[in-house]
Amino acid sequence: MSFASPIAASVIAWAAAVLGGLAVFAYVLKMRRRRFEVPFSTLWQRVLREKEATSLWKRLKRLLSLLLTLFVLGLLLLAAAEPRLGGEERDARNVVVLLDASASMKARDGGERDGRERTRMAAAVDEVRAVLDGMGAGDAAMVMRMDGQTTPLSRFETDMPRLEKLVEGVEASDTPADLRRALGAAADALRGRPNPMIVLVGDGAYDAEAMASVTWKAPGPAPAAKAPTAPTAAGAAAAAPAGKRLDAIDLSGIDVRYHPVGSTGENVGIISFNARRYATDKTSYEVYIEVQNFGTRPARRRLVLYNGDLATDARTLELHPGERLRQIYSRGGGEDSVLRASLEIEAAPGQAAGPARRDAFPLDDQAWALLPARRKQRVLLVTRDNLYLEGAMLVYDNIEVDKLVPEEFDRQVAARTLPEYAAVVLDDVTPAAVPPPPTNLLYFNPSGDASPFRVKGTLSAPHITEVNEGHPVMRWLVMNDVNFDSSSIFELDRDRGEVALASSVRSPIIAARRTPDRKVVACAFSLTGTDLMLRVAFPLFLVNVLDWFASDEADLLTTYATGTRARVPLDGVVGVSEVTVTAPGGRETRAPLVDGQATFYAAEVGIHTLRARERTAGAAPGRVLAEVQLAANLSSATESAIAPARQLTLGGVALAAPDDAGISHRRPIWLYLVLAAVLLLCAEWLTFNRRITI
Amino acid sequence: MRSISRGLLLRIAVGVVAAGLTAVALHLWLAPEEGGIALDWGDRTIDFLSPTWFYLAALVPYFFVVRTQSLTDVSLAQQYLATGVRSLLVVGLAAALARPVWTTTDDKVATVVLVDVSESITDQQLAAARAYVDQLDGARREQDRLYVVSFAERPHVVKRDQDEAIARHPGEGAGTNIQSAVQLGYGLYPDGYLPRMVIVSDGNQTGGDLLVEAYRANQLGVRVSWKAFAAERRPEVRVLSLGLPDEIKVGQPFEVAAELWSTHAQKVTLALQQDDFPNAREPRKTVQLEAGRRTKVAFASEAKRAGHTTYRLRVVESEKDTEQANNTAVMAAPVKGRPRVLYVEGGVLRSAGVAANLQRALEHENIDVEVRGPRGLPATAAELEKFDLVLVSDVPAHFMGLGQMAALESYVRDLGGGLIMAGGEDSFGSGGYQGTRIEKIMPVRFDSEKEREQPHVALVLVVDRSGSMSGPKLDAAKESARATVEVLSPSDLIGVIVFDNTPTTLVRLQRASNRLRISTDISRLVAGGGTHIFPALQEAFQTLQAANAKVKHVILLSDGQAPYDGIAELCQEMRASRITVSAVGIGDADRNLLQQITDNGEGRLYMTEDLSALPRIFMKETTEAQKAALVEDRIRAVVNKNVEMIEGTGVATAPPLHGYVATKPKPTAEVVLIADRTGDPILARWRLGTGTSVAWTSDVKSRWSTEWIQWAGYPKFWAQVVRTSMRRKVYDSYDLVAQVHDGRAQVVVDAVDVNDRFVNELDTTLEIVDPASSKTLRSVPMVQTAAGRYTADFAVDRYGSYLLKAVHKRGGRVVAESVGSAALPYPLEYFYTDPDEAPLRHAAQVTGGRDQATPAAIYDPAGQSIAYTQDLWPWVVLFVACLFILDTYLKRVRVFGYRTIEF
Repeated sequence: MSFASPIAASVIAWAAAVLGGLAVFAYVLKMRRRRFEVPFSTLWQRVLREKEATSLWKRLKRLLSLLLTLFVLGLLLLAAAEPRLGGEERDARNVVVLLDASASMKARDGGERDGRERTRMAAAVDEVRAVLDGMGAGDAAMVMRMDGQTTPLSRFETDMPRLEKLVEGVEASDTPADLRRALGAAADALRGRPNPMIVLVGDGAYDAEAMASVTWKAPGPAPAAKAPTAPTAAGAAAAAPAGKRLDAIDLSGIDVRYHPVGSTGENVGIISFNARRYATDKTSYEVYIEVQNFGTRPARRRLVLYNGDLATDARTLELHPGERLRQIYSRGGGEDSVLRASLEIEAAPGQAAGPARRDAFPLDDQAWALLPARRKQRVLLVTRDNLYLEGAMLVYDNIEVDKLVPEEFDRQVAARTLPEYAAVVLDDVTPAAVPPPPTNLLYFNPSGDASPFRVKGTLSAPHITEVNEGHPVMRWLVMNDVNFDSSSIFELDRDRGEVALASSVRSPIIAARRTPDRKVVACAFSLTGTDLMLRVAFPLFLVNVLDWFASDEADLLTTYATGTRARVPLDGVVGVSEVTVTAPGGRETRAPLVDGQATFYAAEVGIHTLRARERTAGAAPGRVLAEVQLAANLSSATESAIAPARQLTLGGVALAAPDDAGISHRRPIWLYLVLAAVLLLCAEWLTFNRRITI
Repeated sequence: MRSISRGLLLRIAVGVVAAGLTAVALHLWLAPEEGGIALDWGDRTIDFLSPTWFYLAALVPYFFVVRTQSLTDVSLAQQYLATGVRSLLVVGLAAALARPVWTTTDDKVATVVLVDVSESITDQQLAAARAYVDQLDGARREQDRLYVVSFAERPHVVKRDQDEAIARHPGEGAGTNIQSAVQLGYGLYPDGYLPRMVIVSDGNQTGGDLLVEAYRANQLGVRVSWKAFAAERRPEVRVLSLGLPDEIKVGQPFEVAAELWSTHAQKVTLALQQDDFPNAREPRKTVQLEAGRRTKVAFASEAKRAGHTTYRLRVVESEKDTEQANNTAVMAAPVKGRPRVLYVEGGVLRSAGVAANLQRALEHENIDVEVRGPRGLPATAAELEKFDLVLVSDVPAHFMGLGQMAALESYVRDLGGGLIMAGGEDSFGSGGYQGTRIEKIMPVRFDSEKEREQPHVALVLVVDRSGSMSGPKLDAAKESARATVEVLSPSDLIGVIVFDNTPTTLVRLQRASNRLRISTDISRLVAGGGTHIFPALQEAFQTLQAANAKVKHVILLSDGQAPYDGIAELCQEMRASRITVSAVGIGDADRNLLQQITDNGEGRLYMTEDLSALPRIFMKETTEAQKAALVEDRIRAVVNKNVEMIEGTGVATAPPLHGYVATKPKPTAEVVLIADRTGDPILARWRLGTGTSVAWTSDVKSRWSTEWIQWAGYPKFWAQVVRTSMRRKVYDSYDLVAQVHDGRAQVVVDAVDVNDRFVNELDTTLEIVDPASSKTLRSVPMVQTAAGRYTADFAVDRYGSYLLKAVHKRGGRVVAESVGSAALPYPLEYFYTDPDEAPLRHAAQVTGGRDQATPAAIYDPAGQSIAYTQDLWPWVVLFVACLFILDTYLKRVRVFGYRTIEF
C-alpha cells in the first residue's frame, strides 16, 4: 500500500496520536451519574440493583464506544492519507482517450440543453466524461485532443474527476482530424504500459488512407478477436506481416474502442474555393468553387460570391444527394481582393424555410479566397541608352522605371543618395558597389571581380542547348534559336543558392541566385551582340524576372486548407526568425521564418495576416518588414461528410463496440473510507441516543 | 405504545420531508452549475469536481429526528449542539467527497529529457548523453522531478524507477522525430510543476518539425533547452541527389546528374546502373571530391526503350566512409518512345529482304519499324493503336479482309492514326482495291472518273469442252472460271466461250458483278465433241473488239490437239487490237500450239498436270491482266505543292523513279508530288477524320525506287513523310511536380492550355507506378483545388522511387496525361550526418530555454512559479477528524447541566 495524500505522512501521524489520545482521554473521564427523578424511594432499590447488575456491561459498552470512536477516527485519518493498493493496479488499464476536436465536431447535432443547441463536440465531451466516470480506481487515463495536431491534455492520471474537469472546456477547431498522428502519439504514450487501451470518441470522419495504414501485428486479446465483423480483404493484406511499411501505424496489442457521436448527415458545403491569376495575363483571374451535397436528400442552396462586402454573383444550386457541382468564374481586375463565397439556405418554391431545415454544419458554408497581391515595383535601369531594353520594359504594366547612366549611378550609390528601388537592371555595366538588399539585381554582361557570378571563360557564337524550365524565370521561353556573338561562362556554386537558367552545352550563360535577402539574375552576354532582343522571348524574360523578383509567381496560391502546414515566401525579410500570425478572431500567435519562408498553419477558417517585424532591443514592436494576407478554408470533403460512422474499421479490423463491462467501477479507497465513516457516524448517533453505546 | 409510535412516525415523516427539502435546495444550488460549482474563498476560488456528493447533506434531518428520541440526560442545549456538530461532520465529509480544489502556485520543476538514440548519434555521444541525464538527476532538488524519453523514429518513456537504461531502439534507429518526442513529453508533466524540457540530440530530423512544435511548447509553457555533444567527425561520403532531365526520348543521349558530398577530400568510384544493368555509355566513374563541398558528376546515358527507366547510383569505392546506407540513390523517369511504324510488305512473299531498305532508312531516323508480311495486318483498331503509322506496301486486296479494312479506316478516322499506301504491282487498283473501303479512305481514286464508268478489264475465257475434258478437268475448268469472276472487280467485264468443234458463248460479255448469274451459266458447261481452237479465238476477238475496256485479255484453256491454221495471224491481229492472249494447257495439250498463241498474243503460257492448281493459275492470270494500270517508265517526281512533308528533303533533286500505279487525285486531296510527264499523283495526302492517309503511288522497293534507295535523301524523305503523317500526340501533357516531405509525397498538376487558360473539371487519377515491375501500386484521385490545379498526396510506404502518372479524363475519355517521379532512396537519417543545431537553438529561443543547458540551470525556477489546482479534500477530512473529537467530548462531557429523565 502507498499513500498519495498531499498532507505529509508525519502530519497525519501526529494528528493520529493527538486525536487518538484526546479520544481515549474523553473515555477516561468519569462522567457524572445520570440524574433520574423518581417518584418515591423504593424505586432507588431498583436503580441500585440495576447498577450492580449492569456495571460490567456498562464497562464493556464504554470500551465498545471508545473502540468505535477510534475506528471512525482511524477511517478518517486513513482516508486523509489517500491510500492506494499496489496489488490491484496490476489489473488496471492504461487508457488514452482520443477526443476528436476536428471541424466536423462543430456539427450542430448534439441535442439541446436548457433550450440551447449543442454541438457534436459537447456530446463528445459528455461521452468522454462518461468513459472517465466508468473507470476503475487503478485505471490510468490520458486525454489527448485530436484535430490537425495532437495535444495531450494530461499525463496518465488515475484521478478521473480531475480529467473530467480538464475535458470540460475542449472546443472543436476548424481543422480536419489527423488520425494518423493521433494514433501514433497514443501508441507512443502506451508503449510499455500494461493493459493498453485507446478509446476514440468522435464521429468517424477520418482519412481512409490513415485508417487503412493501421497494422495489428499481434492481435492477441485486442479487438481483432472480438470484432463482430470479419476483417475485409484489404485489411487482411494490411495485417499480413509483410515488409515494414513506412507509413504503418502499429497498434499491436492495444485494445482500441470507438465511441461514436453525432446523429445527422445532412450537409451541403463548399469543399473548394480559390482564385488564381492567369499566368501571362495577370490582370485577370479565375475563381473556382466546388460545392457538394453530403446528405441523403436533395438540397437547394443559394451560392453568393462577394468581392469585399459587395455581392458580385448569386445563383441557386439544386443538388441531388451526393452531387458535386463546380462553378468557375473568369474575372478581370481584382487588385488585392478578398473574395468570399457563401452558401445560404434557400427554400424550394412553395416551401417555407424553417429551423428544421437549417444546415447542421455551418463551418463549410463560408469560404475565403485571396488573389496574390501584385506589388508595384520601382525599377532603376542603369544603361547608356538601350532602346530595345527600355522598350521591352514598357511591356510590364506594374513597374515604374527610372534611368541612370553608369557614372551617375556610381556617384549616387557612393553618396548613398540613391532612392530605394525594388530592382536595378545593369546593362553592360558591373559596378563595384550596388544598392544593399533587398534590392534585386538583373545584370547583362557582368564582368570582373564585381560580377555576381564568377566568370570562368568565354564562348564564341554559343547556342542555348539547355533551359531550366522549372525555374519561374524561364517559364514559357523558347530560346533555342537565339544567336549570340559571344558569351561569358559562369561558374556556379550551388551551396550559395546559384542555379543555371540556361546553358550552352553545360556552360551556364544565364544564372540566378536566391538568398534570403535578395535575388540576382545575370545574363553572361551583352544585349548588343545577340538577336534575343528581337525575339518574343525577350520581353517575356524581363516580365518573368521582375515577377520573380516581386514573388508574383503564377503558381503561388494564397488560399490554404486549415490543418495543413504551408511554407509562405516572405522575400526581402532578413535577420528575422519569426513572424506573427493574426487569426481571423484576432488571436495573435508566432510562427517560424527560416530561409525567407514562414511556416503557416491555420486552425481557423478566414483571413490570416502574417507580419514580419524588424527586431528591436526593447519590448516595443519593430517596423513591419513584410506583411501578407492568407486565406484558409476547411476544404475537406472528409470533414464536410458529417454523417457519423457507427462503426470504424482500422487496418481492416472493425473496432469493437464500447464495452462497459470491460471497465471496472472501482472508486478510490479514500472514498470508501469516508463513506464508511459517514455510515458509522449515522449508526453511532442512533446507538448513542438510545444508550446502546455511551 | 401506540401513542409513542404515532409520535415517532410523525417525527420520521417530518425528517423525511426535511431531507427532501434539503435535497431540493441542494439541487437548486448545484443544477445551474453545469459540470461543477465554485465558491469564492477570499481572493481564491474553490471548485468542486464531484459536487453531487453534496446530496449527502440531506442526511442532516436524520440526526435531529434521532435526537428527539434521545435517552441521554445532557441538557437540551448540549443535545442540539452535539446534533449540530454531528451534522457538520457529515456535511464536512460530503464536502470532502465533492472534491474541493483550488488554484495554488509552486516553483517545483519537472524536467523531461529527450535523448536522441538514432543512428546519427555515435556511441560516444550516447554515452555522454547518459552521463548528462545522471547529472540532471543528481542536480535536481528534492521536490523536483525528472522523466526520460528516448527517441529515434518514435519516442519511448524510459522507466528509470524500474532501472531501465537509455538504449537504442532496435529497428527504429533510421529516423529522428523530435516533434513526436516533445509531444509525448507533454503528457509526462505532473500538475504543479514548472515544465522544462531538454533535448539531447544532434538536431537532425527526418520526420516532424521541431520548430513548429517549439511554438506550441511555448504556448503550453514548456521551456525547451538543448544539449548537443560533439563527436569525432566521422568520414562520410553520401549521394545527395540523382537528377534526370524532364524529358527523355528514346535514342536521344542525355545526362544523369548526381551530386555527392564528402567530409574529407577523397577519390570515390561511382557505378551507375540503368534498369539493373550497367549504364551502357558510362558504367563507372572515378571522381575527386572536395571536403565539405557538393560535387556534381554527370554520366552520359541513353534510353533504348520507351516506357520508363530507373537509374541507381552507388559509391562502390571510397577511401573513407562510415555509413553505407547513404551511398545509393535511385531515380526513375518516364521515357518518351520513338514513333512506331507498322510496315506491312506484300513483297516479302516474293523476296524476304525486300522490306529492309525502308526499314533501315526509317530506323536510321529514330523511327521504330515493325515489318510484317501481307497477312500480318491487325484486324482491330485497338491493335493498330500501338502504332503511330501503318504503311501498307504491295499487299493485294485479297490478303486484306473486310475487318482489316474497317480497322484501318477506324484507326485513321477515329484514332488519328497515319496510313500510307505505297505502290507496287499489287497496290491500289492493280491490287484489287477498287471500290473497297481502302479506296474510300485514300486521297486518290484508283481509276479516273471516266474510267470508273468504263470497265477496267475485259476478259474472255475460252474453255475447251472436248470429250477429253470430261470429268475432273471440266470441273476444274468450271471452278477456275468461277475463281476468275471472283478476282475481277465488279466493274470488269467477263465472257466465257466454250468450244469443241464450234464455239458457243456460254457467258456473254458482261460485268463481273453479275457473279451469281455467271456462275449459273458456267455450271451449264458440259463436255463433248472435238477440239477446234481457231473459231473460238475468233469469236473471242470479235467479242472483245466491241468491248469498252482499258485492258482486253483472253485466257485459253485446252487439253488437246488442234489445227494450227491461221491461229498465229489471228493472235497477231488481236495483239494489234490491244488484246492479249494467255494459254493454259492441261495434261496432253499441244504445247507448241499454245506457245505460238501466247507468243503472238503477248500472253503467258501455263502448262500443268495438277488440276487443283488451275483456279490459282486463272486468278494469277486475271490479276496480271489487271496490272495494266501500272506505268513502268522512268519518271521524275515533280513538286506540285511545297508542304512541310517534303520541306528540306531535297526531293526536287531526287533521282527518277522507274514506275508507279496510275491513279487520280480526289478533289480535296493535297497532291504533293506528281509524275513529270503524265501529271499522275506520286505523293498525295488528305486529312481523314482525326488522322491522315497518304498515297505513294510508286513503290518503296528496288523495283521502281531502285535509284531512290541509293539516294542520300531517301531516309530523310521517308522519315519526314512518316513523321508528318503519323498520329499526332493525342493527349496534352501538363506540368506535374512531386515533393516528398515528412513521409508523404505531395503531387501538384497545373493544367494550363496553350492559350494560358486553366483547364478545369478534369477527372484526374494519379497512378503510382513501381518502376521495377511497371505495376501500378496505387491509384489516388487528384482533387481540383483551384482553377487548373489538381493535387493529391500519398504516404511513401517504402524506400525507392515511384513513377507518377496523372491521367486526366473528361467524359470518360483520356484528354491529357502528366508524368513525373518521386523518390526517397534511403532513410534521411543517413542523409544528415552533420549536427544541425539551428532548429535546437531556435526552439530554445522561442520557448525561453537554454542553449547547451547545464543541469543546475535546468532546475533553476528563475523566479517562475506555476499555478495548479490542489486537492483540498484531505484537509477537509482532517478537519472533520478534529471536529469528531469535539463531537466525542460533547457526548462525554456534560456542559450545560442535566436534563431530567422522567419515568
